[in-house]
Amino acid sequence: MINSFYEGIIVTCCVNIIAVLGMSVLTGFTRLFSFGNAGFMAIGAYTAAICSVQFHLPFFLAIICGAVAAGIIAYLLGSLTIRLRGDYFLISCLGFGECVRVLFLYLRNITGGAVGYTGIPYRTTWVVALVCAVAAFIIAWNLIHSRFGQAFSAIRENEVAAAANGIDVVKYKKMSFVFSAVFAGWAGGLYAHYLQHITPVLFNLPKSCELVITTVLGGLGSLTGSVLGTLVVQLLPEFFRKFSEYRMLAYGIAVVLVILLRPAGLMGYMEFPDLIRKITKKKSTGGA
Amino acid sequence: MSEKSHDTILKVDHLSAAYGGIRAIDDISFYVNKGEIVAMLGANGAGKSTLLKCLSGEHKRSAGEISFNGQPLPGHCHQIVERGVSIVPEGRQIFYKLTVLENLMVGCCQRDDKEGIQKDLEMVYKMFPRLEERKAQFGGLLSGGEQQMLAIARGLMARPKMLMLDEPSLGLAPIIVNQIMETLKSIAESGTTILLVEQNAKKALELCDRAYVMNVGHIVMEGSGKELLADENLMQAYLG
Repeated sequence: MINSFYEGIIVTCCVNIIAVLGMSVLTGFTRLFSFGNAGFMAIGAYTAAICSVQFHLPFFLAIICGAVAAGIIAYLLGSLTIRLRGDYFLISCLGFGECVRVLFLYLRNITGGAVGYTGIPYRTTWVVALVCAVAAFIIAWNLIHSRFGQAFSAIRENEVAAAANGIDVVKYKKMSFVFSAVFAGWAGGLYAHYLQHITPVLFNLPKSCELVITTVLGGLGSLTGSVLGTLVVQLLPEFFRKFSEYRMLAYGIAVVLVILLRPAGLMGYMEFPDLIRKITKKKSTGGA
Repeated sequence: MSEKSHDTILKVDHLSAAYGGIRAIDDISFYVNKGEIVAMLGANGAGKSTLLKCLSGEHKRSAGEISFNGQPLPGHCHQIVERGVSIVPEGRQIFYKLTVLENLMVGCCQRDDKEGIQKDLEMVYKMFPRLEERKAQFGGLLSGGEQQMLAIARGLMARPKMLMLDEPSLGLAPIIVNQIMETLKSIAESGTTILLVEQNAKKALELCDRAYVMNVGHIVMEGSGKELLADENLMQAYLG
Protein backbone atom coordinates (compact mmCIF):
# COMPACT_ATOMS: atom_id res chain seq x y z
CA MET A 1 0.00 0.00 0.00
CA ILE A 2 2.78 2.36 0.84
CA ASN A 3 6.46 1.73 0.34
CA SER A 4 8.98 1.75 3.14
CA PHE A 5 10.56 5.02 2.03
CA TYR A 6 7.29 6.94 2.40
CA GLU A 7 6.41 5.01 5.54
CA GLY A 8 9.72 6.16 7.03
CA ILE A 9 8.97 9.77 6.19
CA ILE A 10 5.45 9.62 7.62
CA VAL A 11 6.56 7.93 10.84
CA THR A 12 9.47 10.34 11.35
CA CYS A 13 7.19 13.33 10.73
CA CYS A 14 4.50 12.07 13.08
CA VAL A 15 6.95 11.21 15.85
CA ASN A 16 8.54 14.64 15.57
CA ILE A 17 5.15 16.32 15.47
CA ILE A 18 4.31 14.77 18.84
CA ALA A 19 7.62 15.87 20.39
CA VAL A 20 7.34 19.36 18.86
CA LEU A 21 3.75 19.78 20.08
CA GLY A 22 5.03 19.19 23.61
CA MET A 23 7.80 21.70 22.95
CA SER A 24 5.23 24.13 21.57
CA VAL A 25 3.19 24.06 24.76
CA LEU A 26 6.35 24.58 26.80
CA THR A 27 8.11 27.19 24.66
CA GLY A 28 5.42 28.70 22.49
CA PHE A 29 2.77 29.04 25.17
CA THR A 30 4.63 29.16 28.47
CA ARG A 31 7.88 30.74 27.22
CA LEU A 32 10.18 28.20 28.85
CA PHE A 33 13.06 27.15 26.65
CA SER A 34 14.31 23.61 27.13
CA PHE A 35 17.30 22.20 25.33
CA GLY A 36 16.85 18.86 27.05
CA ASN A 37 13.71 17.42 25.55
CA ALA A 38 15.69 14.84 23.56
CA GLY A 39 16.60 13.52 27.02
CA PHE A 40 12.91 12.94 27.73
CA MET A 41 12.56 11.30 24.33
CA ALA A 42 15.44 8.99 25.28
CA ILE A 43 13.80 8.12 28.60
CA GLY A 44 10.53 7.37 26.81
CA ALA A 45 12.24 5.35 24.10
CA TYR A 46 14.37 3.21 26.42
CA THR A 47 11.59 2.67 28.97
CA ALA A 48 9.13 1.63 26.27
CA ALA A 49 11.74 -0.60 24.62
CA ILE A 50 12.67 -2.31 27.90
CA CYS A 51 9.00 -2.77 28.80
CA SER A 52 8.41 -4.41 25.42
CA VAL A 53 11.49 -6.63 25.34
CA GLN A 54 12.15 -7.57 28.99
CA PHE A 55 8.62 -7.53 30.37
CA HIS A 56 6.69 -8.42 27.21
CA LEU A 57 4.14 -5.70 27.81
CA PRO A 58 1.69 -4.99 25.00
CA PHE A 59 2.72 -2.17 22.67
CA PHE A 60 0.36 0.52 23.90
CA LEU A 61 1.18 -0.22 27.57
CA ALA A 62 4.88 0.05 26.80
CA ILE A 63 4.31 3.44 25.17
CA ILE A 64 2.32 4.63 28.17
CA CYS A 65 5.09 3.44 30.52
CA GLY A 66 7.62 5.41 28.48
CA ALA A 67 5.55 8.57 28.53
CA VAL A 68 4.80 8.25 32.25
CA ALA A 69 8.48 7.64 33.06
CA ALA A 70 9.45 10.81 31.17
CA GLY A 71 6.70 12.70 33.00
CA ILE A 72 7.85 11.53 36.43
CA ILE A 73 11.46 12.49 35.74
CA ALA A 74 10.27 15.88 34.45
CA TYR A 75 8.24 16.40 37.60
CA LEU A 76 11.25 15.67 39.80
CA LEU A 77 13.59 17.81 37.68
CA GLY A 78 11.00 20.57 37.44
CA SER A 79 10.60 20.66 41.22
CA LEU A 80 14.28 21.51 41.41
CA THR A 81 14.74 23.80 38.43
CA ILE A 82 11.43 25.41 37.44
CA ARG A 83 12.03 28.43 39.68
CA LEU A 84 15.18 29.28 37.73
CA ARG A 85 14.75 32.19 35.35
CA GLY A 86 15.16 32.23 31.57
CA ASP A 87 18.59 31.13 30.50
CA TYR A 88 19.37 29.40 33.80
CA PHE A 89 16.45 27.08 33.32
CA LEU A 90 17.55 26.49 29.74
CA ILE A 91 21.07 25.56 30.83
CA SER A 92 19.80 23.20 33.51
CA CYS A 93 17.72 21.42 30.87
CA LEU A 94 20.67 21.26 28.51
CA GLY A 95 22.76 19.67 31.26
CA PHE A 96 19.99 17.22 32.03
CA GLY A 97 19.69 16.11 28.41
CA GLU A 98 23.39 15.41 28.18
CA CYS A 99 23.36 13.57 31.53
CA VAL A 100 20.64 11.24 30.27
CA ARG A 101 22.55 10.51 27.09
CA VAL A 102 25.81 9.80 28.90
CA LEU A 103 24.04 7.74 31.56
CA PHE A 104 22.44 5.53 28.90
CA LEU A 105 25.84 5.22 27.28
CA TYR A 106 27.41 3.90 30.49
CA LEU A 107 24.60 1.66 31.76
CA ARG A 108 25.79 -0.98 29.31
CA ASN A 109 24.05 -3.98 30.86
CA ILE A 110 20.65 -2.26 30.85
CA THR A 111 20.70 -0.12 27.72
CA GLY A 112 23.33 -1.80 25.60
CA GLY A 113 25.58 1.26 25.76
CA ALA A 114 26.90 2.75 22.56
CA VAL A 115 26.03 -0.37 20.58
CA GLY A 116 22.41 0.36 21.28
CA TYR A 117 19.35 -1.54 22.42
CA THR A 118 18.18 -4.09 19.89
CA GLY A 119 15.38 -6.54 19.37
CA ILE A 120 12.54 -4.06 19.83
CA PRO A 121 9.46 -5.35 18.03
CA TYR A 122 8.29 -3.38 15.00
CA ARG A 123 4.94 -1.93 16.00
CA THR A 124 4.85 1.70 14.88
CA THR A 125 3.38 1.46 11.42
CA TRP A 126 2.52 4.64 9.60
CA VAL A 127 -1.12 4.22 10.59
CA VAL A 128 -0.23 3.98 14.29
CA ALA A 129 2.06 6.99 13.99
CA LEU A 130 -0.57 9.05 12.20
CA VAL A 131 -3.28 8.16 14.71
CA CYS A 132 -0.94 9.08 17.57
CA ALA A 133 -0.01 12.40 15.96
CA VAL A 134 -3.66 13.33 15.46
CA ALA A 135 -4.49 12.30 19.03
CA ALA A 136 -1.54 14.33 20.32
CA PHE A 137 -2.74 17.36 18.39
CA ILE A 138 -6.28 17.06 19.76
CA ILE A 139 -4.99 16.70 23.33
CA ALA A 140 -2.68 19.69 22.98
CA TRP A 141 -5.40 21.78 21.31
CA ASN A 142 -7.85 21.05 24.12
CA LEU A 143 -5.22 21.81 26.75
CA ILE A 144 -4.37 25.15 25.16
CA HIS A 145 -8.01 26.13 24.88
CA SER A 146 -8.75 25.24 28.49
CA ARG A 147 -8.11 27.42 31.50
CA PHE A 148 -4.70 25.75 31.82
CA GLY A 149 -3.74 27.02 28.39
CA GLN A 150 -4.95 30.46 29.33
CA ALA A 151 -2.77 30.38 32.43
CA PHE A 152 0.23 29.27 30.31
CA SER A 153 -0.28 32.16 27.88
CA ALA A 154 -0.67 34.62 30.73
CA ILE A 155 2.63 33.44 32.22
CA ARG A 156 4.27 33.80 28.81
CA GLU A 157 3.04 37.34 28.38
CA ASN A 158 3.77 38.64 31.85
CA GLU A 159 4.75 36.53 34.80
CA VAL A 160 4.30 39.31 37.36
CA ALA A 161 0.81 40.15 36.16
CA ALA A 162 -0.11 36.48 35.95
CA ALA A 163 0.84 36.03 39.59
CA ALA A 164 -0.95 39.24 40.54
CA ASN A 165 -4.12 37.85 38.98
CA GLY A 166 -4.02 34.73 41.05
CA ILE A 167 -2.19 32.25 38.82
CA ASP A 168 0.07 29.86 40.71
CA VAL A 169 3.03 30.43 38.38
CA VAL A 170 5.26 27.64 39.70
CA LYS A 171 2.48 25.06 39.53
CA TYR A 172 1.49 25.91 35.96
CA LYS A 173 5.07 26.10 34.73
CA LYS A 174 5.75 22.67 36.17
CA MET A 175 2.58 21.34 34.58
CA SER A 176 3.68 22.66 31.21
CA PHE A 177 7.13 21.12 31.65
CA VAL A 178 5.71 17.71 32.59
CA PHE A 179 3.29 17.90 29.65
CA SER A 180 6.12 18.52 27.19
CA ALA A 181 8.14 15.66 28.71
CA VAL A 182 5.20 13.25 28.45
CA PHE A 183 4.82 14.13 24.78
CA ALA A 184 8.56 13.73 24.23
CA GLY A 185 8.44 10.35 25.98
CA TRP A 186 5.47 9.30 23.87
CA ALA A 187 7.33 10.27 20.71
CA GLY A 188 10.44 8.44 21.89
CA GLY A 189 8.51 5.24 22.60
CA LEU A 190 6.93 5.29 19.14
CA TYR A 191 10.26 5.98 17.52
CA ALA A 192 11.89 3.02 19.31
CA HIS A 193 9.17 0.70 18.03
CA TYR A 194 9.74 1.93 14.51
CA LEU A 195 13.54 1.80 14.41
CA GLN A 196 13.75 -1.49 16.38
CA HIS A 197 17.24 -0.47 17.39
CA ILE A 198 18.01 2.65 19.41
CA THR A 199 21.29 4.23 20.50
CA PRO A 200 21.90 7.19 22.82
CA VAL A 201 23.28 9.22 19.88
CA LEU A 202 19.77 9.51 18.46
CA PHE A 203 18.84 11.68 21.42
CA ASN A 204 21.80 14.04 21.59
CA LEU A 205 21.99 17.80 21.91
CA PRO A 206 21.46 18.48 18.18
CA LYS A 207 18.17 16.59 18.47
CA SER A 208 17.09 18.86 21.34
CA CYS A 209 18.14 21.90 19.31
CA GLU A 210 16.17 20.62 16.34
CA LEU A 211 13.02 20.43 18.47
CA VAL A 212 13.48 24.01 19.66
CA ILE A 213 14.32 25.32 16.17
CA THR A 214 11.28 23.57 14.73
CA THR A 215 9.04 25.16 17.34
CA VAL A 216 10.46 28.64 16.73
CA LEU A 217 10.39 28.18 12.99
CA GLY A 218 6.76 27.05 13.02
CA GLY A 219 5.85 30.00 15.17
CA LEU A 220 5.62 30.48 18.91
CA GLY A 221 2.15 30.31 20.36
CA SER A 222 0.72 28.29 17.50
CA LEU A 223 0.01 24.55 17.47
CA THR A 224 -0.80 24.40 13.77
CA GLY A 225 2.41 26.35 13.22
CA SER A 226 4.33 23.67 15.09
CA VAL A 227 2.89 20.98 12.84
CA LEU A 228 3.76 23.03 9.77
CA GLY A 229 7.24 23.71 11.12
CA THR A 230 7.84 20.01 11.68
CA LEU A 231 6.74 19.17 8.17
CA VAL A 232 9.11 21.81 6.76
CA VAL A 233 12.06 20.74 8.88
CA GLN A 234 11.54 17.03 8.24
CA LEU A 235 10.54 17.14 4.58
CA LEU A 236 12.88 19.82 3.27
CA PRO A 237 16.00 17.65 3.58
CA GLU A 238 14.06 14.83 1.84
CA PHE A 239 13.20 17.05 -1.12
CA PHE A 240 16.80 18.09 -1.44
CA ARG A 241 18.11 14.55 -0.98
CA LYS A 242 19.33 14.53 -4.61
CA PHE A 243 21.77 17.28 -3.79
CA SER A 244 23.18 15.12 -0.97
CA GLU A 245 25.83 17.28 0.70
CA TYR A 246 24.18 20.56 -0.23
CA ARG A 247 20.81 19.78 1.29
CA MET A 248 21.92 20.88 4.74
CA LEU A 249 22.96 24.16 3.15
CA ALA A 250 19.43 24.60 1.78
CA TYR A 251 18.06 23.76 5.22
CA GLY A 252 20.29 26.37 6.83
CA ILE A 253 19.31 29.00 4.28
CA ALA A 254 15.63 28.20 4.81
CA VAL A 255 15.98 28.69 8.56
CA VAL A 256 17.75 32.03 8.10
CA LEU A 257 15.15 33.19 5.56
CA VAL A 258 12.27 32.42 7.90
CA ILE A 259 13.98 34.25 10.75
CA LEU A 260 14.58 37.29 8.53
CA LEU A 261 11.23 37.39 6.76
CA ARG A 262 8.92 36.13 9.46
CA PRO A 263 10.56 36.79 12.83
CA ALA A 264 7.59 35.41 14.76
CA GLY A 265 7.89 32.11 12.87
CA LEU A 266 5.74 30.81 10.06
CA MET A 267 2.56 31.10 12.10
CA GLY A 268 3.48 33.20 15.13
CA TYR A 269 0.58 33.60 17.58
CA MET A 270 -1.86 32.51 14.92
CA GLU A 271 -3.65 29.22 14.32
CA PHE A 272 -4.49 27.97 10.86
CA PRO A 273 -8.16 29.09 10.97
CA ASP A 274 -7.01 32.61 11.99
CA LEU A 275 -4.69 32.69 8.99
CA ILE A 276 -7.48 31.77 6.60
CA ARG A 277 -9.74 34.38 8.18
CA LYS A 278 -6.99 36.97 7.79
CA ILE A 279 -6.39 36.12 4.13
CA THR A 280 -10.07 36.15 3.18
CA LYS A 281 -10.55 39.42 5.04
CA LYS A 282 -7.65 40.96 3.17
CA LYS A 283 -9.08 39.79 -0.13
CA SER A 284 -12.55 41.16 0.57
CA THR A 285 -11.25 44.55 1.70
CA GLY A 286 -8.83 44.61 -1.25
CA GLY A 287 -11.69 43.96 -3.70
CA ALA A 288 -13.97 46.60 -2.25
CA MET B 1 -19.83 56.73 55.54
CA SER B 2 -22.16 54.20 57.14
CA GLU B 3 -21.68 52.41 60.46
CA LYS B 4 -20.00 49.60 58.54
CA SER B 5 -16.95 51.81 58.17
CA HIS B 6 -15.64 50.74 61.54
CA ASP B 7 -14.98 47.16 60.45
CA THR B 8 -11.32 46.98 59.69
CA ILE B 9 -10.65 44.86 56.60
CA LEU B 10 -6.89 45.32 56.35
CA LYS B 11 -4.57 45.88 59.27
CA VAL B 12 -0.84 46.29 58.92
CA ASP B 13 1.32 46.22 62.05
CA HIS B 14 4.96 47.27 62.28
CA LEU B 15 5.74 46.20 58.73
CA SER B 16 9.33 46.42 57.49
CA ALA B 17 10.89 45.36 54.21
CA ALA B 18 14.30 45.69 52.66
CA TYR B 19 16.14 45.15 49.41
CA GLY B 20 19.38 43.53 50.45
CA GLY B 21 20.65 45.81 53.19
CA ILE B 22 18.61 48.81 52.15
CA ARG B 23 15.46 49.38 54.16
CA ALA B 24 12.66 50.46 51.85
CA ILE B 25 9.93 50.57 54.47
CA ASP B 26 10.45 50.71 58.19
CA ASP B 27 7.96 49.89 60.91
CA ILE B 28 4.78 50.91 59.13
CA SER B 29 1.34 50.50 60.72
CA PHE B 30 -1.98 51.43 59.20
CA TYR B 31 -5.49 50.11 58.63
CA VAL B 32 -8.19 50.19 56.01
CA ASN B 33 -11.89 49.98 56.85
CA LYS B 34 -14.46 48.11 54.83
CA GLY B 35 -15.84 50.15 51.94
CA GLU B 36 -13.29 52.93 52.29
CA ILE B 37 -10.99 54.44 49.73
CA VAL B 38 -7.62 54.87 51.38
CA ALA B 39 -4.79 56.61 49.56
CA MET B 40 -1.11 56.05 50.27
CA LEU B 41 0.83 59.08 49.09
CA GLY B 42 4.44 60.04 48.86
CA ALA B 43 7.18 61.21 46.55
CA ASN B 44 9.48 58.96 44.53
CA GLY B 45 11.31 56.45 46.66
CA ALA B 46 9.06 56.87 49.66
CA GLY B 47 8.41 53.13 49.72
CA LYS B 48 4.85 53.11 48.43
CA SER B 49 5.36 50.50 45.78
CA THR B 50 7.39 48.32 48.12
CA LEU B 51 4.54 48.46 50.59
CA LEU B 52 2.12 47.31 47.91
CA LYS B 53 4.50 44.58 46.82
CA CYS B 54 4.58 43.29 50.39
CA LEU B 55 0.80 43.28 50.52
CA SER B 56 0.51 41.48 47.20
CA GLY B 57 3.09 38.83 48.07
CA GLU B 58 5.54 39.89 45.38
CA HIS B 59 8.14 40.98 47.93
CA LYS B 60 8.88 39.23 51.23
CA ARG B 61 8.55 41.37 54.33
CA SER B 62 11.35 41.25 56.89
CA ALA B 63 9.15 41.95 59.91
CA GLY B 64 5.59 42.80 60.89
CA GLU B 65 2.08 41.44 60.60
CA ILE B 66 -0.55 41.87 57.90
CA SER B 67 -4.07 40.74 58.62
CA PHE B 68 -6.94 40.74 56.19
CA ASN B 69 -10.52 40.17 57.36
CA GLY B 70 -9.16 39.17 60.75
CA GLN B 71 -6.79 36.49 59.45
CA PRO B 72 -3.09 36.74 58.64
CA LEU B 73 -2.52 37.33 54.93
CA PRO B 74 -0.80 34.36 53.19
CA GLY B 75 2.57 34.74 51.52
CA HIS B 76 1.99 33.83 47.87
CA CYS B 77 0.31 36.02 45.26
CA HIS B 78 -2.21 33.41 44.19
CA GLN B 79 -3.27 32.66 47.78
CA ILE B 80 -3.76 36.37 48.39
CA VAL B 81 -6.02 36.67 45.35
CA GLU B 82 -7.92 33.65 46.65
CA ARG B 83 -8.63 35.55 49.87
CA GLY B 84 -10.21 38.38 47.91
CA VAL B 85 -7.44 40.90 47.37
CA SER B 86 -6.86 41.97 43.76
CA ILE B 87 -3.84 43.92 42.65
CA VAL B 88 -3.70 46.30 39.71
CA PRO B 89 0.05 46.44 39.29
CA GLU B 90 2.19 49.45 38.48
CA GLY B 91 2.61 50.09 34.77
CA ARG B 92 -0.63 48.23 34.00
CA GLN B 93 1.07 44.96 33.03
CA ILE B 94 -1.38 43.96 30.34
CA PHE B 95 -0.94 40.63 28.56
CA TYR B 96 -0.02 42.05 25.16
CA LYS B 97 -0.56 39.00 23.00
CA LEU B 98 -3.86 38.05 24.59
CA THR B 99 -7.11 39.62 23.50
CA VAL B 100 -8.96 42.03 25.76
CA LEU B 101 -11.47 39.31 26.58
CA GLU B 102 -8.71 36.80 27.36
CA ASN B 103 -7.05 39.36 29.60
CA LEU B 104 -10.29 39.66 31.52
CA MET B 105 -10.69 35.90 31.73
CA VAL B 106 -7.25 35.57 33.31
CA GLY B 107 -8.56 37.92 35.99
CA CYS B 108 -11.20 35.40 37.01
CA CYS B 109 -9.00 32.31 36.62
CA GLN B 110 -9.79 31.17 40.15
CA ARG B 111 -13.55 31.32 39.74
CA ASP B 112 -15.83 28.54 38.57
CA ASP B 113 -19.25 30.19 38.51
CA LYS B 114 -19.94 30.73 34.83
CA GLU B 115 -23.04 32.87 35.37
CA GLY B 116 -21.32 35.09 37.89
CA ILE B 117 -18.39 35.56 35.52
CA GLN B 118 -20.76 36.51 32.69
CA LYS B 119 -22.50 38.98 34.97
CA ASP B 120 -19.24 40.58 36.05
CA LEU B 121 -18.10 40.73 32.45
CA GLU B 122 -21.21 42.73 31.57
CA MET B 123 -20.57 44.89 34.63
CA VAL B 124 -17.03 45.83 33.59
CA TYR B 125 -18.12 46.35 29.97
CA LYS B 126 -20.74 48.76 31.25
CA MET B 127 -18.10 50.51 33.31
CA PHE B 128 -15.65 50.68 30.38
CA PRO B 129 -17.57 50.54 27.08
CA ARG B 130 -14.28 50.89 25.18
CA LEU B 131 -13.26 47.45 26.35
CA GLU B 132 -16.34 45.84 24.87
CA GLU B 133 -15.72 47.56 21.55
CA ARG B 134 -12.20 46.18 21.52
CA LYS B 135 -12.72 42.82 23.18
CA ALA B 136 -11.30 40.81 20.26
CA GLN B 137 -8.15 42.95 19.91
CA PHE B 138 -4.78 42.17 21.41
CA GLY B 139 -4.25 43.96 24.72
CA GLY B 140 -0.99 45.43 23.40
CA LEU B 141 -2.88 47.44 20.78
CA LEU B 142 -4.83 49.47 23.34
CA SER B 143 -3.88 53.03 24.24
CA GLY B 144 -2.38 53.76 27.64
CA GLY B 145 -5.68 54.84 29.13
CA GLU B 146 -7.50 51.83 27.75
CA GLN B 147 -4.80 49.55 29.12
CA GLN B 148 -5.26 51.05 32.56
CA MET B 149 -9.00 50.48 32.26
CA LEU B 150 -8.32 46.90 31.22
CA ALA B 151 -5.99 46.41 34.20
CA ILE B 152 -8.66 47.66 36.59
CA ALA B 153 -11.36 45.61 34.91
CA ARG B 154 -9.13 42.52 35.05
CA GLY B 155 -8.65 43.08 38.77
CA LEU B 156 -12.41 43.38 39.27
CA MET B 157 -13.07 40.12 37.44
CA ALA B 158 -11.79 38.24 40.49
CA ARG B 159 -14.69 39.86 42.38
CA PRO B 160 -12.34 41.09 45.11
CA LYS B 161 -13.22 42.33 48.56
CA MET B 162 -10.38 44.79 48.26
CA LEU B 163 -8.72 46.28 45.21
CA MET B 164 -5.18 47.61 45.48
CA LEU B 165 -3.95 49.94 42.75
CA ASP B 166 -0.39 51.01 42.16
CA GLU B 167 -0.21 54.42 40.48
CA PRO B 168 -3.16 54.11 38.13
CA SER B 169 -2.68 57.69 36.92
CA LEU B 170 0.91 57.13 35.79
CA GLY B 171 1.56 58.49 32.31
CA LEU B 172 -2.08 59.25 31.48
CA ALA B 173 -3.72 62.40 30.18
CA PRO B 174 -5.52 64.44 32.87
CA ILE B 175 -8.92 63.82 31.34
CA ILE B 176 -8.36 60.04 31.47
CA VAL B 177 -7.12 60.32 35.05
CA ASN B 178 -10.37 62.06 36.02
CA GLN B 179 -12.35 59.33 34.31
CA ILE B 180 -10.45 56.62 36.15
CA MET B 181 -10.84 58.34 39.49
CA GLU B 182 -14.59 58.57 38.89
CA THR B 183 -14.69 54.87 38.16
CA LEU B 184 -12.79 54.07 41.35
CA LYS B 185 -15.37 56.04 43.26
CA SER B 186 -18.22 54.02 41.78
CA ILE B 187 -16.34 50.78 42.48
CA ALA B 188 -16.02 51.79 46.11
CA GLU B 189 -19.69 52.73 46.25
CA SER B 190 -20.61 49.26 45.09
CA GLY B 191 -18.87 47.86 48.18
CA THR B 192 -15.28 47.10 47.14
CA THR B 193 -12.65 48.54 49.44
CA ILE B 194 -9.88 50.41 47.64
CA LEU B 195 -6.28 50.97 48.60
CA LEU B 196 -4.76 53.46 46.21
CA VAL B 197 -1.06 54.12 45.97
CA GLU B 198 -0.48 57.39 44.15
CA GLN B 199 1.96 60.12 43.35
CA ASN B 200 -0.74 62.36 41.98
CA ALA B 201 -1.59 63.62 45.46
CA LYS B 202 -4.23 66.17 44.60
CA LYS B 203 -6.39 63.81 42.59
CA ALA B 204 -6.02 61.03 45.14
CA LEU B 205 -6.89 63.31 48.07
CA GLU B 206 -10.00 64.57 46.31
CA LEU B 207 -11.14 61.00 45.87
CA CYS B 208 -10.20 59.23 49.08
CA ASP B 209 -11.85 58.99 52.48
CA ARG B 210 -8.56 58.84 54.34
CA ALA B 211 -4.95 59.11 53.32
CA TYR B 212 -1.50 58.34 54.65
CA VAL B 213 1.62 60.20 53.62
CA MET B 214 4.88 58.29 53.37
CA ASN B 215 8.39 59.62 53.35
CA VAL B 216 11.60 57.55 53.15
CA GLY B 217 9.97 54.41 54.47
CA HIS B 218 7.87 55.92 57.25
CA ILE B 219 4.32 57.11 57.54
CA VAL B 220 4.66 60.77 58.44
CA MET B 221 1.04 61.90 58.37
CA GLU B 222 -2.48 60.63 58.23
CA GLY B 223 -5.87 62.20 58.01
CA SER B 224 -9.00 62.55 55.93
CA GLY B 225 -8.63 63.57 52.33
CA LYS B 226 -10.06 67.02 52.97
CA GLU B 227 -7.81 67.72 55.94
CA LEU B 228 -4.69 66.85 54.05
CA LEU B 229 -5.80 68.73 50.98
CA ALA B 230 -6.17 71.86 53.09
CA ASP B 231 -2.73 71.50 54.63
CA GLU B 232 -0.44 73.53 52.39
CA ASN B 233 2.71 72.77 54.35
CA LEU B 234 2.21 69.11 53.76
CA MET B 235 1.82 69.53 50.04
CA GLN B 236 5.00 71.59 49.93
CA ALA B 237 7.05 69.37 52.18
CA TYR B 238 6.27 65.90 50.91
CA LEU B 239 4.22 65.89 47.79
CA GLY B 240 5.14 68.90 45.72
